[in-house]
Amino acid sequence: MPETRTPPPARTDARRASRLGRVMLDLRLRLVALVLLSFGPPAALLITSELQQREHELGNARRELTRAAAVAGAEFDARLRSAQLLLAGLANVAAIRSAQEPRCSALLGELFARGAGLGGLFVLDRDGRTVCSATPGPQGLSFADRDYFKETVARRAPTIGVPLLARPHGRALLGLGHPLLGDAGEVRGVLVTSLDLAAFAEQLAALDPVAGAAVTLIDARGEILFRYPDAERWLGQRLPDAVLVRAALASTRGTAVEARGLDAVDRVYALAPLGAETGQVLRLALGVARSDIDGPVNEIVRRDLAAITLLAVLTLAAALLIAQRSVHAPAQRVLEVAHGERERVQAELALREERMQLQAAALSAAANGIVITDRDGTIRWVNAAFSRLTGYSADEAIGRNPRILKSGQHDAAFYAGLYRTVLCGEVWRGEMVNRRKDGSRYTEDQTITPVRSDSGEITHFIAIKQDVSERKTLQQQRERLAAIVEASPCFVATADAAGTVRYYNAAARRMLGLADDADPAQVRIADTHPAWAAERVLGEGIPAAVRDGIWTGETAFLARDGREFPVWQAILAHKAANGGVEFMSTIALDLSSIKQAESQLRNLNAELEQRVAQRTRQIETTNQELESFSYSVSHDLRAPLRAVDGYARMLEEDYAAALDQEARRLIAVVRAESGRMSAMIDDLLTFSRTGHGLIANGAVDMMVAAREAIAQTSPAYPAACVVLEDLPDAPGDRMLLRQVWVNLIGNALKYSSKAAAPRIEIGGRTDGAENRYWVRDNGAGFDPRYADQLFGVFRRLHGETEFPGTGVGLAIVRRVVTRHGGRVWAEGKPGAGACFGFALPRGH
Amino acid sequence: MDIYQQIEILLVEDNPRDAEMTLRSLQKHNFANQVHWVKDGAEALDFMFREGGYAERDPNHSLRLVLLDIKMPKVDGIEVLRRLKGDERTRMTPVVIMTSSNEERDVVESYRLGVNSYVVKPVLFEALIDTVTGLGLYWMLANRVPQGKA
Repeated sequence: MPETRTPPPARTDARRASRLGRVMLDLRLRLVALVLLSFGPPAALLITSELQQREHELGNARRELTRAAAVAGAEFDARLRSAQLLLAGLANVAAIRSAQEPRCSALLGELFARGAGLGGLFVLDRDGRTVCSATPGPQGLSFADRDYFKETVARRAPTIGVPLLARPHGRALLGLGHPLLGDAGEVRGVLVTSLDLAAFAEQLAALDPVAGAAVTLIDARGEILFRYPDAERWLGQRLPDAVLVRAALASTRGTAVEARGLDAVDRVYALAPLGAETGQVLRLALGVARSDIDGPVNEIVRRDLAAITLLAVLTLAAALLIAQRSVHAPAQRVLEVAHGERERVQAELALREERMQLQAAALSAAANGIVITDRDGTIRWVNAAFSRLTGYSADEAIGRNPRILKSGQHDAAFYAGLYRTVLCGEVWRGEMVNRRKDGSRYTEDQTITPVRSDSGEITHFIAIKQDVSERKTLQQQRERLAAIVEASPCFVATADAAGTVRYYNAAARRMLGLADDADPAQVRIADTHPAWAAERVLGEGIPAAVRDGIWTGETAFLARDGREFPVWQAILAHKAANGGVEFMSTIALDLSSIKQAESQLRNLNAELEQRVAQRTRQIETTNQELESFSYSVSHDLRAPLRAVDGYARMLEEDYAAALDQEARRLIAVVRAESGRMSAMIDDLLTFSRTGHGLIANGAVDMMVAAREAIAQTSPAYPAACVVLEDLPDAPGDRMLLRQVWVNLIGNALKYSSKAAAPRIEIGGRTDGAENRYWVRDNGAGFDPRYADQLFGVFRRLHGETEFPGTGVGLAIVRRVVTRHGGRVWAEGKPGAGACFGFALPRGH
Repeated sequence: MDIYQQIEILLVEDNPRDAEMTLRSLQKHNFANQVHWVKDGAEALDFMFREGGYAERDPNHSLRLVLLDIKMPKVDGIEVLRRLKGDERTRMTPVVIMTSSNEERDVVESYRLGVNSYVVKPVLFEALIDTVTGLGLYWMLANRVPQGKA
């Protein structure tokens, strides 16, 4: 068998799908690349344009700032100049020169109120003390230490001081001095004022071109005189090494730089010197943050890029969609068709090959024997089952004719019919008895099918054989079982899982009164059971049988005539391998006769019990009567006897002299007989008492009982030799059993008293379920023919004169032993001694 | 003068034959004059408790012995015994049962009630004398005989 195998269809599909997928992916990637490429140049163009725009904006900012700085510088110069002019003008006013008060102060005050941006207006004497002032202030305020005062005095010329932060208010001021010269040209005083640099810068910061810009004033030493915004943070700090400060100090004329501010923000700064004409080193820096300049441009760049990206995505999506519709799908269909065709051919080939292999395997492995012959009947192929069935191996069978199997059971016509059928191209089917290689016969069920070539000609025959010997046997067994069930006197029925009855046996049909040909399927449980029994069967029996396999209980059936008869019923649930119930069966036993018998038995028992009770009552009554009789006898019967004896004695005593010897003998007889009768009455009473009343049931030590009896009876017979062996204990009444020993031993002593050497042997042993005891003597013995009479009341085998006695002793023995559930016996011969024994049950 | 003053023994016996034989036996031992014979239990109780016809009897006089039969009409001997032994006045008086009954239950019941002795009749005479002797009464009774005679 070739080892190449077609992969399973599922794997083929997967592979095909992945191959198709790769092609499609490739197509898509190319499309995407194309679309992206087309968006490259516009994007680049846009970015270039934006960069130029940004450069332009930056240039604009520089220019505007530089202009603003220049304007600020000019403004500052103008204010400085006008302050100088004001001072020069005032110096010529006589009232000021002479510091003539109050005119001087009034004049200064009026000017100060009009002149914006001035920090104050004072007239000082030569020592710097305030002489008059524009504002009312503390008299004697001294300017002696101010540089511009000292320089003005020294140079006798107008002076501009160094800008400084005036304490304590922290505002930057620029002081100016103007000498007041006397007629001789000597310095008589100094006129001083100051420019408020902070006020100037504040006004500048509020101006439009630099709104939002950072405004910084820096002096020659690098000290920050003004800063907007955040003045408090920077004011008064000396930062000569800060980038901005260095750049500002380095620039001598208006210029623009990009530098990092004091607060580390990158800005474009316009730098301008203030008061350059006066030789002052004061720098103004106006800065606008780069982010404020670039921000709008960057925003535009971002927006444009977003738009272009969106456009690119949309274009891409549209392109893909269109491609899917107009390019991809057709391409895929073409590819799929190509692939599918190839794989279908492959799969079909594989399937065909597999089917052939399976068929070959199935034929080989089939449980049924298979033979293939050619048209002539020569065996070409057989399978393993054929060999097993017939005993011929494949090698032995191939090349031979199937007639090797002939058993001789079938005649020629049978085979002729067979050949005729198959040669006509028909299938022959039938049972035949064949013979195995070892000669044994078997029954086979055979199907012979002709095989035709494409041209319709019969080329081969295929015979399929099944050994049905076992099936036949099983069928016979089944038929036997069915016959047994059918003939069973028990009610037997089966039903399918739906509850439809399928079978009733003969007993069931008879009990239910069904005709033999009645359809069981028409019978329902409600028809065959009385209501209570149907309820029990449906509610309890069937569920229990389904659960446990079997249920049994007492129910009842209804005969056709409506009569209800009780049954014992078993319900069985026959389950399939999966646990599902396949069908149910029931077996029932008619309990009518049993129930009837039971009922009779019950009645009989009740009657019997009643009778027993009645009899018991009678016996109890009798016992009571007997007891009172005994009592009466004991008292009343003895009274006259006593009188007979007593009066005979009185006669004897009172008239002894008057009586002759014969009279005295007669009286003696009367007295002796009355005495004997008294003894008989006593024994009779004893006997009577042993017959009724309760008997105790303890363990009696028989050794002790026998010893006591010996002690009681033996003193009267001193010559006797009494031998007592070990005696087993017995359950019973101690007093009664002791009486038994007394009577037996007493008898033995009495009847052996005339022997030469009286000997009494007392023994006992356990024998099975009973204990046996005996008393043997070597005395007078007795005639064994009368052994039975010995135990009767008043029965004696010896005369009163020979051995005195009342004849009640052994009767008492027998009664006691019998009441203990035991038995008595006696053995003896005249003159050869006697043995009296009794046995008591051990479990009594 | 109390006619019962010298009575030492009370014989309670319903059977005249038995009574005669008992009296005869006692006579032989010289007790005859000191014996008073009553025929049933009821009369015995009357005598002992000084009732009925015996109401005049001297209360200070006490008996030496009561001989009591069991089986009697009206009140039987066991009942008489119970009454005598249950009463302070008569509890100390010796009582001997004389009976023809050898029934276990009678014997047991008598001793339970405190009887001093129990004698079965067939051996009446000899047994009675033995019993009386055993009870230590004989010499007491006998000793009185010479006095009574005197």
